Amino acid sequence: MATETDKKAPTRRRFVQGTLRTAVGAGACGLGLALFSAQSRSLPADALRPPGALPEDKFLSACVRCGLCVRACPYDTLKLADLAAGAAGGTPYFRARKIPCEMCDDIPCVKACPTGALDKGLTDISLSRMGVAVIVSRDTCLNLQGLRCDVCYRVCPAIDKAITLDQTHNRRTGKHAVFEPVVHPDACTGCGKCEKSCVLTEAAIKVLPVALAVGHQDVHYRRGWEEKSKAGRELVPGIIDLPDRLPELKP
Amino acid sequence: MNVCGVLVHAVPARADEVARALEDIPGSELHGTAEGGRLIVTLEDTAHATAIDGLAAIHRLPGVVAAALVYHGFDPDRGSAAPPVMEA
Amino acid sequence: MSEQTRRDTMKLAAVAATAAAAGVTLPETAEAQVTRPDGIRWDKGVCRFCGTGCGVLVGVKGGKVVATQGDPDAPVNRGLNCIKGYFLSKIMYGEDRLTRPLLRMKNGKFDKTGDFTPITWSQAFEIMAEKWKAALKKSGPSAVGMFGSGQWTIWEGYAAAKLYKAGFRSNNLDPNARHCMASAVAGFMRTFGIDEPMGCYDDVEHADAFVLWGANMAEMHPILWSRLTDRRLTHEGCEVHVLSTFEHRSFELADNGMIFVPQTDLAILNYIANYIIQNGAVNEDFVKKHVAFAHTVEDIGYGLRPTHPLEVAAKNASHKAGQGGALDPAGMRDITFDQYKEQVAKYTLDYTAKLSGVEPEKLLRMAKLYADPKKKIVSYWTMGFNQHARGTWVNNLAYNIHLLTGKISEPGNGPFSLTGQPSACGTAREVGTFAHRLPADLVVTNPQHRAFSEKIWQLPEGTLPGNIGYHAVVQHRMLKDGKLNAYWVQCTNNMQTAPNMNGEGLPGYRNPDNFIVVSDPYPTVTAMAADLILPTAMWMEKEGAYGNAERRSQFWRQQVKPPGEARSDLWQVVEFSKYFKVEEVWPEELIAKKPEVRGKTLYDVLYANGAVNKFPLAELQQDFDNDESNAFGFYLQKGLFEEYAAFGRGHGHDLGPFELYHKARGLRWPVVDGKETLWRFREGYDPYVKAGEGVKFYGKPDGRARIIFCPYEPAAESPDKDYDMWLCTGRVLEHWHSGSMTRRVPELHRSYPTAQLFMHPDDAQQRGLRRGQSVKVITRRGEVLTRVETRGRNKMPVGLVFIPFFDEAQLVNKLTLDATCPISKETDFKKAACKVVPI
Repeated sequence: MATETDKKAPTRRRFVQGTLRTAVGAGACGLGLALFSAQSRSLPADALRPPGALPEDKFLSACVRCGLCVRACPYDTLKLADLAAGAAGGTPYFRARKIPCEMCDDIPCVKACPTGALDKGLTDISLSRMGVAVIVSRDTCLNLQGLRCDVCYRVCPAIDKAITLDQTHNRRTGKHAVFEPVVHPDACTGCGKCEKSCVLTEAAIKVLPVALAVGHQDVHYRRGWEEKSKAGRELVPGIIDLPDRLPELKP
Repeated sequence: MNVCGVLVHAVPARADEVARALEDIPGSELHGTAEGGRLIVTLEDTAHATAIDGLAAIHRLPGVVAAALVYHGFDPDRGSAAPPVMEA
Repeated sequence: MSEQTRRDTMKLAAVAATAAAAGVTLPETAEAQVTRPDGIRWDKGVCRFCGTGCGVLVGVKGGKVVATQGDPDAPVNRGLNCIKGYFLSKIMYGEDRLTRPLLRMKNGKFDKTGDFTPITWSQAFEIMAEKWKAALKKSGPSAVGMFGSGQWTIWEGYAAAKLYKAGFRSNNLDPNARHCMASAVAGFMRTFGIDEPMGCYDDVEHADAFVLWGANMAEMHPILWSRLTDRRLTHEGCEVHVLSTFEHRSFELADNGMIFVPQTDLAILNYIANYIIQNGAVNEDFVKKHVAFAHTVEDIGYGLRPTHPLEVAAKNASHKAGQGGALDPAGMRDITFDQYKEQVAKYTLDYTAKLSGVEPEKLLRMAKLYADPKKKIVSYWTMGFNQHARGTWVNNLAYNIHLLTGKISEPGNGPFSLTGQPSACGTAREVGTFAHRLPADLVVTNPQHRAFSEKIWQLPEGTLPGNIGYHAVVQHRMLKDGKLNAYWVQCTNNMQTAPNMNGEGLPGYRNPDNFIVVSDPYPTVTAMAADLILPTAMWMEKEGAYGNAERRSQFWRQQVKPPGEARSDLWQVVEFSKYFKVEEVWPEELIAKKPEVRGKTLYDVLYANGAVNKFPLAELQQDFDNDESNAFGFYLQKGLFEEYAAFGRGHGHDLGPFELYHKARGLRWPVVDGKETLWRFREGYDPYVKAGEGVKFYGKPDGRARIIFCPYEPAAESPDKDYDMWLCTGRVLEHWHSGSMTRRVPELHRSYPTAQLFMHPDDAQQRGLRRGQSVKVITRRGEVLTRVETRGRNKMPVGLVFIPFFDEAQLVNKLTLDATCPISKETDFKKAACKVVPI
């Protein structure tokens, strides 16, 4: 007797809104991109804000460029943007490929912030959203070719939550599996450990600012299986099904 | 030392004739044929002619439609016997 | 390369390019060595790392390996590699490759406290010979020793075994496989009488279920794991059970994951046997025909120094064997099935669940799986079993289950001991580089085996010593005690990887009575602790051969020249033999039995002996270098291989002819009548089982495998009030063992730069520790600075911490205890008591 758990594939199947399998479609985020580049003209897209940073426009007005968060960072992750960088000059940022965020439990950078540009309400580092990891290059990601790298997965501080390995049959070899890294934006903090440790010369997984990377599910269509699971029952109760007529089995 | 790889297209019906004629061109060697009259040929320098002379000769052979130089290798180094090694 | 061969190579490239343009494949361009338009010559090789044995193609241009690829046609990996294999092309080109012999010198002379100074090879061998001769003169053959490797090529191991066992007449030769596979070897020998797995990787595609006992295949055998995962995904009803002392990456696939208290795997295995018997699931026909029962000697100690309280207390500790009624720890007595049944009856579900801490329903689920006659099961294990103070026992206990149910030696059914190293099987085990072994499973203690070996090696009768030499852990103890004085380490980083480094290894190396030689491509921790460092050619810088876990022997040709004056281990061993006259190492009465050896060198007697030097240089692989053969004037590798193969041919270890291996993508022995053997001991698959016999365990004289009862006994060291946590050490996917190669690949270094201590968040909180905080891990032997990791790839249970050993900045073997399985002499790196404190 197979139970529900027995039947499911070994990877934890996660029904997460906005599971990212690839670089986000251009259409879906074109608007976001335009807005973002207007907001942060002076910072490149791979520059990430510290944990707890307010949305970019609010952050820019709240940050007093004091540099205390940079000084509080024990891993030398945070830097101050070049003063020549215009509006954003003097603000803190980090580049995941250089030094990622080590996700300190006590979040010293947030504690050090005198203005609330880094939100004091953030006390659990695993709830921070510095960005979102995205597999930007399916063509070069080694695991997607069937190799066994999965360095990004194993290095992830939220392993099995923010990144899972989706296992599928390797049709080319016929006897191996492909372990596809899948990022779940609801659990990804954007710390950048994955991007930092990607072994390729040009990382196949990159952390992008949330505004760039995360799509939104349209409100006019709901996923029936998720709605049912959320409700814990059929949404329209009492619908009946008649038995099918079948030839009787001889004993 | 020059070594060339040449893809020769012959009129299909005359491919055998072209193959025989290649034997008379110094430095040429036939390595295989494919349908449609294609012949895989290498040319190298001889004492009296360079590989490029051979290519010109192939062009002039009756039955040859085209002769394309696909690969050209030139080895200027006749002295050193050992390949370079990584020094730590 | 001669001008002619250069011209031929270029022509080959021209043909290949032209054929490609024409869209045709020509037979000659499909051959192994093809140079393509990009100027890269591709040839067949094998991965340098783990025991999986993935086939690779190696690309050479300008005398350098510039690229590699997984061999798309290799049966093991079909073109795939793990992340270590992906960077194979970079492992030979670390910036600090050693290129000259280096001797510790002061004022132009050797000085144990001096600085490393470049010398010539002949100077190096001269001082070595001087030290070896002095040691031999002072204390005889027991004063010289060597530590080798499961990463040696087959002929390197064979040449070294000959030099030591026949040349120096010392069995003080042991490989690092002692730390790795010795328990598996002892387990095979006790149960089956013949070494190495009966099955092969093809089992994966035939099995209904897999049970992992102390194996994190997801990280340590990544490509094999990929095959297992595929089976789980594509085969209806396939299930995976995983047992470990902490939750590692393989649990991701587990249908039934079990965390047990260290050492209680002994009890769990007996419980399963008990369940099988109690529920009538014994395959009675199989057991009646093919199995006999035995009871092991108990209370055997922990392989520590004889003065250790645990050894004093143990009734049958190794050093007591034969005295005062003490028994040989490896011994066993015959019993009946009923007696066996009575012994395992104690291991009830209730008892076992309490002892092991595993939920009873999980244990029951696994027991039912083993008992189900319709389920084909493969059990896998690696270091969790082998690095165990009762390592031989757990191996035996796993075989018990498969033998009781007859689930063995057929496609999809069988116990399978995975190897850690690329040639733990091919070299360390098959060639006989252990302190107790000779080639092809022969042992030094058996006079017939010695006589047989002396005949093949053309030695006078009585040349080979019959006493077991110093094994790995004892070598360090004897170095420390000043009884082993001239010592050579090749192809392994044993200072970093042997247990109790500060207690035994380092004092042993630095003992002023001793002269330590280390051959390595890189300045490892071990090399830096030596007196003389010899620069070594590695991997594709020599012609080589490895044997993987499924008995597959794979060859490669020399692809490139080594840097500077680096020379292969093979050249070093054979060249060193020239520095000894027979009279300097053999007693007069031995020489008198074969007077023609008088005045000759060990080189003449061992290598230029008419057999090893039989094959001329004309037979070398066309268009490839072979530095060793060219140095000695004959095809050295072929001669060594063919002489070695004579040991196993006709004795169940048949290897094919040398040339065949250069043509094939590896062959699984026994290779008989031009065919590989996939499953041993079963009629139709194994040429040694006659028609009508069905199954025959021909390693044992009576043709019966042994079901050996072994009880649960506690670990050597368990947590107590002073040292309150279990300490487990191990490997990670990104790095190969001690990291001497992989940490020199920048990308791999970046992917896992430093070791961390994996700890349960509650344990951290209780000690006031935060994630990422610097801590000291302390045991009775020493302490190591590291950082706490409470998240990440390993999920620890409360009370147990794990730390990988790849990081030479965190020498975790300062912490480990040199307790071994008293039978296999393999160290238990998985169990020690420690405490963790903030700095």
